[in-house]
Amino acid sequence: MKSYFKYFKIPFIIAIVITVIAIPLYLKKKADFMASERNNSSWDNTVTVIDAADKMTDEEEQVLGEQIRVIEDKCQSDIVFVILNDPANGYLDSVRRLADSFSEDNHMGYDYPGGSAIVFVDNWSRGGDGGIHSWMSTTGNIRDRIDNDDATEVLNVLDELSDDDDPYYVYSKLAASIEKRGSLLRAPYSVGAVLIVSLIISVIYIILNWHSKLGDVTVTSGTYLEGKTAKFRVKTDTFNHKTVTSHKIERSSGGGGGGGGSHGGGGHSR
Amino acid sequence: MIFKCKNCGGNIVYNPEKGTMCCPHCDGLDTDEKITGEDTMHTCISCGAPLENVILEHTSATKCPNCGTYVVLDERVQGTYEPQLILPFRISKNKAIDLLKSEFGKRVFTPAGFLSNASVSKIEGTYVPFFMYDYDTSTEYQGTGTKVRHWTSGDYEYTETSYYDIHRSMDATFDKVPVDASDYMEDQYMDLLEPYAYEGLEQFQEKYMSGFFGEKYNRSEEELAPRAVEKIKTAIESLIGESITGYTTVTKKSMDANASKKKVDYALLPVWEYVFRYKNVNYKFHVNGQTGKVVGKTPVAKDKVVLYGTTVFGLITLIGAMIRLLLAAVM
Repeated sequence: MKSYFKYFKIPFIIAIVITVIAIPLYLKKKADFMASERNNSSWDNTVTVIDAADKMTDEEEQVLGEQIRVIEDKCQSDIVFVILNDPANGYLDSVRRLADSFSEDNHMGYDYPGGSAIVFVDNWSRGGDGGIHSWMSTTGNIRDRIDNDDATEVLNVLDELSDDDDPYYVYSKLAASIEKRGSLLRAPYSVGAVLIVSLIISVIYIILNWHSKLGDVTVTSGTYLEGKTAKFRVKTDTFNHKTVTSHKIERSSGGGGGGGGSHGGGGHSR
Repeated sequence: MIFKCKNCGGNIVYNPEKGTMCCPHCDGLDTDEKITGEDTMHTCISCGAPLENVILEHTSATKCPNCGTYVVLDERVQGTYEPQLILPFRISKNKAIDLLKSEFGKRVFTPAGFLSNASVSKIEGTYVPFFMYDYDTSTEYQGTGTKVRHWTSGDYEYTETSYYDIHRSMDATFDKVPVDASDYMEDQYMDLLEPYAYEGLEQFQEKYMSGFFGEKYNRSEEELAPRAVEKIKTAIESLIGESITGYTTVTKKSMDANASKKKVDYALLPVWEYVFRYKNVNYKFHVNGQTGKVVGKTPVAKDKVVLYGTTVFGLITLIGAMIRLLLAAVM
């Protein structure tokens, strides 16, 4: 065991030092934001789920609402999920306007009215284009953590929904995805990534240390050669013939392209 | 025969570091006196203890298990078994142990005790019988080489392949190509221990064997000559290959190598051998007694693989997780 501790001495010290630094810093940051209070009386942030389309049971609404209220504190952002069945807003653009105006009209914002807020609108009524459209509108500093691309990515979870599904579990996954990206205590990589990297490094470590060879060959062609050189009586390279082949080069062409206000967010149609 | 110290009567042995006969008891230098007896094949000249158990079919030098005297067996180093040449040890036992520790000390999965002083001090120096072959060779080589060139013109890519006839006639003389004449020593180990620095070769003298084990040749030089020719042909093929350059591909059409034996020397070459027994398998390690080159493959202790592997996994996971917390706290 002595050689074991001697071998791992430096990694053990590094692990202890990082642990001693990381845990207090993390706990301090967590305590700081747990102590920070919401500063907006214009919007009742206990309202987190408005299921006008009646797609969830009361119990599901309550559980989802509690999940979102915890996420609101972690993200320090007001969040509301609005589930509609409104034929009057059957296009993606009108759903977007609805989401944007909801936060403005209701003075949402965790830090101040008009501040950090997320409004997710899911309109189950099929529009003129035959799609079911959703929009996630973001305002205030939550946009620093959930940009438009993130919002679009978060909404991809809606692909799992079909007309007959109970949408509760998908909305719950969507809320968890918002927490993962928007939490002030979010980490740049997941615990799963840590485990995978550790596993890969451990396997490489074992392979490298397991492998051993008998020895290197240190005899060369000239080791036992008298005078270290051979005498060539004939050393000729004579050109014989040549062949030339050709083939036509296949060419292809292609192209592509791509393309901001106070509201950010992303949309989704299914 | 044994070698005794004229000063103290102790068993005097050859000291590789000092390059001379040295008495380990009184530190006397070159105070050796050769003592021969009537029945050296069966009893120790020094103490009279029986040697049957330590003298095997090809043993030429051994150590008395009773008094520890190093005995050289007259019958196995004289007459037809007398070597022409010997390469005296230049690496001492302590140096050989240091070389083993330096080579394998950092291998983490070796079993406990592998390089412990108690275990590694069992290393023994042995003079291994070798035949050294001198050959004159003449080689005719025919082959085809290609040079490939690519270029593009308009919508077409062109490939030009030029073919060359390659002809080589080569004469080469090989000196002292060593082939071990011991069945006990594995060829692959002995081949990897090469090369030896032949500048140190000396006319055979029995005194160099005092302090070491030894064997006479197990097989005749005629039996072992094909292995020498095989080694020479491998060298010839490399020499021909080194003379053919600048081609994209080279294809051998024919190679005819004639080798004629000029001379054969019977020699004893110095090898340190350490045998470590682990889970009923003998793991052999050899150190070239002259150059210090180490050859051997270490055993793996599976319990250590599990312990060290899981520790590495645990440490990286812990460090990764803590860095994750740290970044979450400062971002």
